Amino acid sequence: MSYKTYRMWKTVIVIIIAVSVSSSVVAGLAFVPVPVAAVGAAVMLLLRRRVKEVIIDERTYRIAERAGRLAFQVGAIATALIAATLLALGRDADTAFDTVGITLAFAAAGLLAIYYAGYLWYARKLGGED
Amino acid sequence: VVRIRNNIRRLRFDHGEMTQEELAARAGCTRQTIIALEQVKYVPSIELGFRIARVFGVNVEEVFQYEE
Repeated sequence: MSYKTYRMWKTVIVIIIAVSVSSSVVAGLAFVPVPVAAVGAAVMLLLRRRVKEVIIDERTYRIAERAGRLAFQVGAIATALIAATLLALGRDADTAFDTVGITLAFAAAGLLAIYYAGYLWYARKLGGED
Repeated sequence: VVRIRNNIRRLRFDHGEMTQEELAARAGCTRQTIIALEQVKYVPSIELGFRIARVFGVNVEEVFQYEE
């Protein structure tokens, strides 16, 4: 199978999953999205194995690394700022701001912890003394 | 600023007008990477550099040049 055909089928499967999940959520069928997503992922994996040409290489990983780093930096800072703002707003008001703020603050802290753990792991794997 | 230039396009044509697909398949990378290399938008790893040079049967320095 060529990469072009694989991409076409991948798009079709993603559309089918999106429509199935959204319509089942609207219809209140909570048990449908999980098997649909699982079957879709399995089919995509099988299709990917049938592609003969190289579809992921070092450039793909380098792009993903940079995009991941950008997402982490922007996401962590934005989440922390929003959390601080909500906590400040919710301190004296009887709203859910402080609850959401605390949740976001923990999410930002968790993200930082995952990044740090990942950094240490890769630093050890790739050598050096960072 | 990319300081590493390459002769991939010329080498492809010198080798029987080898297509980007063929070079990608033989070097074990994607066609998009070959396109990016020819447009000097991407600097490959040393390993990929060696693999590309091996496809053309030349030394790495004949494919890639570092500009001071």
